[in-house]
Amino acid sequence: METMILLALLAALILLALGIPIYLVLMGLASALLVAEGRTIAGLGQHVLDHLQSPILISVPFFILSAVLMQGGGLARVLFDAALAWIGWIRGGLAIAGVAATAVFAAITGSSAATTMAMGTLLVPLMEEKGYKTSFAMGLTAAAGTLGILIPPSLPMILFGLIAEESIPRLFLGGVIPGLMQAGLFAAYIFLVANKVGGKAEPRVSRKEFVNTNVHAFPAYLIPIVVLGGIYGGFVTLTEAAVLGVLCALIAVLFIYRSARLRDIPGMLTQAVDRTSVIVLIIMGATLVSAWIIKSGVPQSFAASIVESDMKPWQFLLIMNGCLLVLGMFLEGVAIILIVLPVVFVVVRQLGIDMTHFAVVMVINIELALLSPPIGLNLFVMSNVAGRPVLEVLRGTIPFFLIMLGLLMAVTFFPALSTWLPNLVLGS
Amino acid sequence: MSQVIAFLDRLIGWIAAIALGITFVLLLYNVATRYLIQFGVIPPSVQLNWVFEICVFLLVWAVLLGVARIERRAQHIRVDFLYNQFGPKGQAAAELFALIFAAGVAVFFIYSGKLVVDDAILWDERSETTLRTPFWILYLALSVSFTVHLLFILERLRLLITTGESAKNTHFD
Amino acid sequence: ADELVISSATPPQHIQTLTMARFAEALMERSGGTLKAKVFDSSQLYNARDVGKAVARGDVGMATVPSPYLSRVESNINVLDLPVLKGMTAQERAKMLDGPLGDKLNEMLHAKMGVVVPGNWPILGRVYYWSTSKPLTNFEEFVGLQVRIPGGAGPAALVEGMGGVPVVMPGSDMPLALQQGTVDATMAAIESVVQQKLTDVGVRYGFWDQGVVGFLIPIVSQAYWDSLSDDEKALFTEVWNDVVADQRVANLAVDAEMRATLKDWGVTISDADDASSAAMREKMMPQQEAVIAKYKLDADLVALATEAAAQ
Ligand code: NA
Ligand code: NA
Repeated sequence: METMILLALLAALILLALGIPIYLVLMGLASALLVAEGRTIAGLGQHVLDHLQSPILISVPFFILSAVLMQGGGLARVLFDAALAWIGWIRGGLAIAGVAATAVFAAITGSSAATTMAMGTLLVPLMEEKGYKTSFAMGLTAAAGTLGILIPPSLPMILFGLIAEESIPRLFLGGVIPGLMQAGLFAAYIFLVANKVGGKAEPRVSRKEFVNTNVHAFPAYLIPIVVLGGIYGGFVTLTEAAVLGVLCALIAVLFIYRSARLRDIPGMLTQAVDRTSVIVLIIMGATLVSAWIIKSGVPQSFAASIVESDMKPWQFLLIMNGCLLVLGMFLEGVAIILIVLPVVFVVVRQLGIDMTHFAVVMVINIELALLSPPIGLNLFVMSNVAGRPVLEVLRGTIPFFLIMLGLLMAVTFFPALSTWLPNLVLGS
Repeated sequence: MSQVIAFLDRLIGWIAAIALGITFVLLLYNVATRYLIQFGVIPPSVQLNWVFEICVFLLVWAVLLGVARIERRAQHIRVDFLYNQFGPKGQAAAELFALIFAAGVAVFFIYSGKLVVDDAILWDERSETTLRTPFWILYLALSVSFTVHLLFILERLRLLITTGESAKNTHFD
Repeated sequence: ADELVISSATPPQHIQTLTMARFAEALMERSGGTLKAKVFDSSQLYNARDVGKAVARGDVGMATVPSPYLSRVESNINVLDLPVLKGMTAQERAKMLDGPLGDKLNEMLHAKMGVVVPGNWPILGRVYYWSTSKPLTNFEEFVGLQVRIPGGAGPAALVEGMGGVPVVMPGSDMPLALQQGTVDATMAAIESVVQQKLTDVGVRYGFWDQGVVGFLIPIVSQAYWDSLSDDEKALFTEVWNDVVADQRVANLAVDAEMRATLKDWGVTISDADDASSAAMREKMMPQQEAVIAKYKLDADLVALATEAAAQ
């Protein structure tokens, strides 16, 4: 069976290298393998249709739609300009403001690809214009875009909570401090290398301009406040928060900024559905692949051998990090969760590791997976958005990837980074 | 032929937009009525228990139809670092192979979707809400979407063979 | 006989998975090793909602499915949510299901989906009501209360019958909805309250209205069943029923254990007394008629349920 898995992996790599879309490779290969081992043909279509009905997936198009509105309607720009007025005068200020605006954006959408798409369209041309190296601009935005799943709301964390039967509000809060740390580390790094990558300080804006920019941005600030306030302050569910975010963005672009007209809206709706389809179909392909791998029994025997070996929690987490990094090269977040979590969460409990701690470790690994070749969703999204080769994006992400590896180690060895806030708010 | 394809593309784009729009309105209605009921403004009877179900049905249709639109524009996410190293002939050959592979997957899921619909009608599978919506209506989305998907692939194949024209260079709009 | 592949929706140490693992072991032992079975836990193969169709197609050999999921196909299963059953204990309902009412439902499932029910139904557990800020100690407190239900005309009728407002919401949205007060209370098995730590989102009160006890329906694929000889089929049923007998006892212990855990976490759980639940049952008869009409419930089944409730 291990041989079959290696052969399948090889076939997948060849098909991908030929430029066949990822969802087709995953769906085609997994279907062939499953039918070969006796799965019914109807069962495979049923698998896709059943997984599409997940209540989690219902919120996805709305998180993406608010991103489309904010981007198409110039709201991302407004948020970014405000961030620039606050911190643009620092060395590397433009890029640091980009990270800040991305972090705010991440607090609205639960997907990293959506964050990268929206911010990439805006930030990369701007940074190029101001003299930053293109690969740096793309690398930074692709890496900062991964914050979409670490800063709540986060779709992978919802999925994690559903599979491991853990409290989702608790998992959400676990990502806050590591998320802010990631943004802070990125900002510090930009400050240090600003001269080398072409980033100069922006002129300090006048007091009047500062006030004007912020007043102009106020309706845009309201959107994350309504969405996050709705979720944490206590008025609406996750799906409803996504819908209210769309409502606010609509009002802002139609009536306040007047950056879009009513007749632009149907096109934006179609665009949001299209972008959802791109992401969701890869997820469907990944779930088909994991259906095949799980039936092989290989993941289960791995779990059994861990429990037998009498391992310490930190040793287990280090090994998990190694496995997740390798898996993350080839798979994306949802697939990683679907394959790994059902097998290991029992081991995690038996070793006495806090589930929130493990969830955050896993989500940071998924962030890294979005950036690691050969299959890194954010690399492709950024390459698509900027119209540049994937290799150039990859080169730009390397320093940020290393910073995130450092963050991963910190979060792995200091559980308090992910458990302190949820324990403070929700009790331990 | 090309006009029919272009019309189909616009049509499913509109269907997807309308489906997402209706979902948006229904979910907003749900939030609004819940609060109005809580404050005693309106009677509880206006609450609809099937909103979520209709949203699921609409969005599954919308998302699956979206797959075909994305395929027509060659915007599905793919790994292109090796593909970009090929010469023009190599790229055309790779695209030909990719389109045939895509057509194969489409045919498989059209057939699979048809079997799922047959079973759902045979079993009379219905939703748990008071609407008791038959599930074949949702399941039909798979076959229909991949049929449109297949038509778009065949059109791309036709263009590639007759004119050598490739859709490979488009990006997200 | 083929090797039996069993899909379980719950984690390895959960009573449902343990029951399946014990069954697999006992089946192997008592058949002298000729009947082999393998259990996949944690919804690795299929989740509870979708596994029924997979068994029907033969993509997996066996599963136990919470009865509401199979009511998507066989709506007569909704008979188990009827208010007339209010007041019956888990054991009394189990006895009813082991008799003619269960046999009839099993036959209906076989006719509709081609799945075989090999023996008795395990108990899933009592379905309680849980609230955050509004105390739940008797039926009067439900008047005007917004209660989240997973869906279905049966649960909606139960909530409406008490004067509450049913709000349909998927399970994934429920914890936040409770925390934020978008709903006042939820219908849920005690186990999900403990496992999802719903005390984190403010659950303080529980109420057992003597209304619904969940059951799991065991189903086996026709293809697997056909691969067994008559003797093997008889042995299969015998082993299964023995395992279920133990499961039903163990389930009661789990319920008691979880109530104790929740008490430690500061949750006050109240039980409706027999008199008030009997009065509520009578009050709910109009809702019952509506549910019977809605699902076109088989008249014989309703009669069997009414008869069992009267004993
Ligand atoms: Na987020
Ligand atoms: Na990767």
